[in-house]
Amino acid sequence: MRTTTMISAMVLALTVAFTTWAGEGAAVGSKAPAFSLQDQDGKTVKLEDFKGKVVVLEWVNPDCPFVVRHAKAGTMRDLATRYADKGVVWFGVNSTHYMDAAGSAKYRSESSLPYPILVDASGDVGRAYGAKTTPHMYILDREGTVVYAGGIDDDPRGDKGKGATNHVAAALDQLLAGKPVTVSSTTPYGCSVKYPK
Amino acid sequence: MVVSAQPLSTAGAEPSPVRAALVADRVPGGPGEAIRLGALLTLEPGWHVYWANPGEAGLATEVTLEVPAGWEVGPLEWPVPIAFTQPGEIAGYGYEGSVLLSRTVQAPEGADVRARLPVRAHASWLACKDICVLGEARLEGELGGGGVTVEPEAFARRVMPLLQAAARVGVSSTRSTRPGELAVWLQWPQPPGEVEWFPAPTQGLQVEVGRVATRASLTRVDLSLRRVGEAPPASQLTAVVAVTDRDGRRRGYDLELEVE
Repeated sequence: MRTTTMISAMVLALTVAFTTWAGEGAAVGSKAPAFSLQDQDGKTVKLEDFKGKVVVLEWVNPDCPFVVRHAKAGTMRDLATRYADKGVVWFGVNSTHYMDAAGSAKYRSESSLPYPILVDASGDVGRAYGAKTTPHMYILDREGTVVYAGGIDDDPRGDKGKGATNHVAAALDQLLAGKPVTVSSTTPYGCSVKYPK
Repeated sequence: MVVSAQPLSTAGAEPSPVRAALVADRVPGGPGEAIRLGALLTLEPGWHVYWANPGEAGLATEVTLEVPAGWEVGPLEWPVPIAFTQPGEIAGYGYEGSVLLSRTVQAPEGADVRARLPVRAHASWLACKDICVLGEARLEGELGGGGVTVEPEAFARRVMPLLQAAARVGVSSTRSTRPGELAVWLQWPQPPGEVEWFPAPTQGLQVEVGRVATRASLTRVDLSLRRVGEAPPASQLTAVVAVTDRDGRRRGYDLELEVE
């Protein structure tokens, strides 16, 4: 009895001490954080200018082997091209602390990417979204609500070939068909985003 | 002696920050006997590789074995990981310095274990410091033929008993009113020292560790559980609990916990 009382008291003390912790960034179902960033050519891009459009955000780091693998395979380029015809806007976001606009421009050119790379060397936008990995993918619906957050696919090792499921393509197909996104959250994989220390 | 080790890095001409060697705890003494065989990875200072659950970023290290036909190969045995925080408060679980990733292999009845037995290991990893590089090594040698380094002491601290049984710890959990949040309570027989919680990969759930707080003999672990992917979420959480006592000795325990 006495032991139980003691434990209860300790449980209470610990409960009071730790009520909340860590926000989640741009959680699925929440409003996507607004941003204004410059792209690789210095052009300002504001998220609010794309209201009414489906927007894909892809966190990139040209030095990350996972990003390099997808660039070589044309994963993002092909998806962005395919869905651009359906009104989907795609942005790369580079939160790598040591990389400037020229670094993003070089990566974009070498990878023949049709979409802008937004320069976020301060990491402010990456942190607002809670971007953890490169790549880390977010899909925003026409109202600016996050409807998907996670990995590009279910193939972290890149050994599944055609057997891999592309989560972003699946979510975009459902979204564009007016259906709910069934897999709205997956575990992203890749290098950690190289935020400033 | 390692017959062959070819770490391949995607980072170009830079030398790999990880070296790999094929090691065994001993040579098999007779048919049906199990030995442990694996890859010892040695990392350059400041670099880390990842545990089975890499945390919020990274990639689990993998070691596969090729052994003579008929031999049984067990699951990968992971040493107790360490936790580190990557810039941006990104949690990581893995290893620095060196790590031995092994599997238990067992010769079939009737096998001639005195013969030279060719074995191979394939180790692959993501190693990170300021940047990340993928690497791999293909190792080969011969058990009983002097082609594999035998290092019993490297395997000595690898036993990871179940927490509830080994440390006589009472484990319970309480749901928070906040969805997806769970508190796990560990009631120790005596004050445990420093307690760390490493969530194992869990089907359908992403498990993040909030705070781990110990007062006297009671530890509270705050977990955040989030549905991920298509698979139905597991009804059992598994974790490695690491305890560092006052003398600085660190022990790891497996923990299994049913959740609703």
